[in-house]
Amino acid sequence: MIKNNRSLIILLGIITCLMFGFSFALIPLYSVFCKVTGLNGKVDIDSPQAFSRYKSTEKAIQQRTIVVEFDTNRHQKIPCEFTPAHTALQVVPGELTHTTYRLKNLSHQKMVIQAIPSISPGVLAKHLKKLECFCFEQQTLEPGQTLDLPLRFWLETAIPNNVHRLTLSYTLFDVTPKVKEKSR
Amino acid sequence: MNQTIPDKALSRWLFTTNHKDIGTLYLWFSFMMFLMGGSMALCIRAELFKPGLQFFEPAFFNQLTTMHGLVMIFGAVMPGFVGLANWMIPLMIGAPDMALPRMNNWSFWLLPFAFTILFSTIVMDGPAPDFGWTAYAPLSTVYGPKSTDFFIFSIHLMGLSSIMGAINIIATILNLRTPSMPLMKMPIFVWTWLITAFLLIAVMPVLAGAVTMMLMDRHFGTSFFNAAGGGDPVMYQHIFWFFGHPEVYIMILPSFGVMSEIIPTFSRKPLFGYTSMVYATISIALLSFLVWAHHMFTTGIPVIGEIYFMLATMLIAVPTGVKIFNWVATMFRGALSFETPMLFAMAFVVLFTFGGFSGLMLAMVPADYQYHDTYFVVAHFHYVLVPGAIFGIMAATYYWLPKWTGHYYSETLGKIHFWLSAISLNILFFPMHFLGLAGMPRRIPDYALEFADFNRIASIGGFLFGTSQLLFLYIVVKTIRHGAKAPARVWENAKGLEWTLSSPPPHHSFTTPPLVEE
Repeated sequence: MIKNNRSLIILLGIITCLMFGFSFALIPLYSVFCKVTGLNGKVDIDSPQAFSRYKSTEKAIQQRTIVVEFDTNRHQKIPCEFTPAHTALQVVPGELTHTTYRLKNLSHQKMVIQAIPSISPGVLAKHLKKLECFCFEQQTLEPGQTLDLPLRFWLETAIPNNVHRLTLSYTLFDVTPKVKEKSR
Repeated sequence: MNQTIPDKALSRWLFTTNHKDIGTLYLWFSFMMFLMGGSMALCIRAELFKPGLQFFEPAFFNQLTTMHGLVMIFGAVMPGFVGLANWMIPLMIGAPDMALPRMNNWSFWLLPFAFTILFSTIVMDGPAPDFGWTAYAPLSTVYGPKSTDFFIFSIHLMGLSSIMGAINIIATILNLRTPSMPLMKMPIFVWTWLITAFLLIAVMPVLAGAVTMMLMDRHFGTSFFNAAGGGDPVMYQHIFWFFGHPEVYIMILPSFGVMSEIIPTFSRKPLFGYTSMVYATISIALLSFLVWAHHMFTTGIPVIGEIYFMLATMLIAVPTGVKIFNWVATMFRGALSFETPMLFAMAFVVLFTFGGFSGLMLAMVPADYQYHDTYFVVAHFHYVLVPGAIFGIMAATYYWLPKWTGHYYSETLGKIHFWLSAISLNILFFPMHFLGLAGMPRRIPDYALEFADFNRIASIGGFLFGTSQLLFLYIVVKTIRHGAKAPARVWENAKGLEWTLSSPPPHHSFTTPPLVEE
C-alpha cells in the first residue's frame, strides 16, 4: 500500500488520464468490434485490389440464389432524386453483380453527396464484398445534373445456407457545408 | 492545533479547508439543487396533471426533463454523498482532516460555477439543453441548441470536481486511517465510499471524453458520431453508458454504506456478514463495467450480445441480494427501535428491492422491447434513486445530525416527514409502472386520454412529496438552532469512532490517532 500522498495522487491522476484516453480508444475498438460481429450492418469497404482476391477465392459458382434488395434513403430529405436501377436482384453467391443508381440534383445549388451503406440483417455485412461503389467517394453534382452511379459487388460463397434475402441500403448525406469549410 | 474558527463568515466559507465546513457546504448545495430539480419535477407533474398542453410548450417541456435529470444527478445526489463523505470519513477512521484539504476546497467551489453555467442556459436566447440528460447524438451534435456548449463545459467542471473529490477520498482512506484500523475493520460506509471513489475516477473521465467528442463534432469538423463522415451515432450511446451504468452505482453504493451503519445501531446487533458485505460491494462495482448495453437493447445489437448483457445484468442481482439478506438478517431478532433514521432505512430496504425487481424485468431482452422508453423505466429508476439514494442521504442526515449540531432533532417532526415522504413517493411513482406497461412513452408533454387517471394520481403524489421536503428543511434548520443536547454517543449502542467525539465535534478532531473500540 502506498503511504505517501504524493505518489498515490500521481497514480490516481494517471488512472484518470488513462480512462480519458480510453474513451477515445473505444472508437477504433468499436469499429473493429463492428467488423467482426456485423454490429449495425457496417460494410467492409474494400480496396481496389479486392478484384484479384475475388477471382482467386470465389470460383465455385453455386446453384442457390439470394434476393438482394436495394433500398435508398435521403437524410433530412435533401433535395435530390435517388433511385436504384433495380429494386431487387437474384444474386448467385460468388458471382460478380453489376447494377447502377441514378442520382439527380433537384436544387439550384452545387451539391456534394456522401452515401453511407448499411446492410440488414447486420451479421451478413461481412459476406457482401464490393469491387466498386459510389460510396467510396463523395459525389459532386451541379444544379440539375444527373449521374449514373455504378455498384459492383459479390456475395461470398461462405454466406450461410439459410439466407434467402438481404437488404443493401444507402443513405445520402449532404456534406456540402463541410467541404466548403475545408476549402476556405 | 489551532481551534479557532475564522469569524468573518464570507472568508470562512470561501477559503475553508476544514472537512466539516466543506461537508456542510456540499450538503447545503445538494439540498438547494434538490429543491431546484424538485421544482422542475413539479412543473413536469403539473403539465402532466391532465391531457393536453396546460402550461408549457413541448420544447420547454424537453428542457425541463433534461435539466431535472442533470440537476438531480450531478447537483443533488452526487454532492450530497460527497458531503457525507467529507463530514464522516475523517471522523470514522480517526483522521484529523481530509488528506488534501486545499484541493477539497477547490472541488466544492467548482460546483456553484458549473451549475451557474448550466442554469444560465435557461435564460439564454435559444433553448436550454433539450436532449435529455443522456445527451444522445445526434440530438446533441447535429440538432443540439447553441447552449449545448455551455452544457458540455459545465459537465467538464462537474467531472473535474467529482474526480478531485474521489482522489481526495481515496487518499484519506488509504493514508490517514488510525493505525489500529486495518481495511477489514473499516466501517462499511467508508468501504462503500472507497469503492465509489474508484468508480468515479474510472468513469467520470469517460463522460468527459464523450462530451469532448461531442464538442469536436459540433465545432472542429470531426465525425465521431456523424454517419455522413464515417462515424456512428450509436457509438455515443456505448461510450455514454460505459460511464452511465457505473454512475448509477456511484449514486447507490454510499447509500448502501449508510444503511449498513444505521440498521445495526437500531437493531442493537453488529452488522450481519461484514465480510460478505465488502465483497458484494466490490463485485457490484466490477460487474457495473460489464453491463452497459442493457440500456441499448433496441439499437440492433446482435442476439448473442443481447443475451450476454441480459445475463450479466441479472447477475448483479446476486451481490445485491446478499446485501438485502444481510440487512434483514441484522434486524432479525434484534432489539429494534424505530427512530427516524431507522424508518428511512427500513423503507429503503423494502422500496429499493421493488426498484431492483423492476430492474430485473427491464433486464429481460424480450420484455425490454416492450418497456423501453416508457414510463416503466421512469418508475424503475425513480424507485431506485428516490428511496435508494435520496432516502440514503436523508437517513444519514437524521442519523448524524445530532453529531453535527449537538442537538437532537424533533423525533415527532422527523417521523411525520418520513411518513409523508414514504407514502407520497409511492403515490407518485407506483402508478408510473402501470402507465409504462400500458404504453405511455417517457419525455412527452401530452398523452392519450387513457393515461389520464394514473397521471393525475402521480401528480398529486408529486406535489405531496415535493411540499413534504420543506418540512425536512424546517427540521434541519430548527435542529441547528436549538434542541435537546446530544451526548457524544448520540444513539444507544452506536459503534464507531465518530461517537467518541463530543457533539458537535471540535473544529479539528483527532490530533492523535485514536484506538479502535472493539
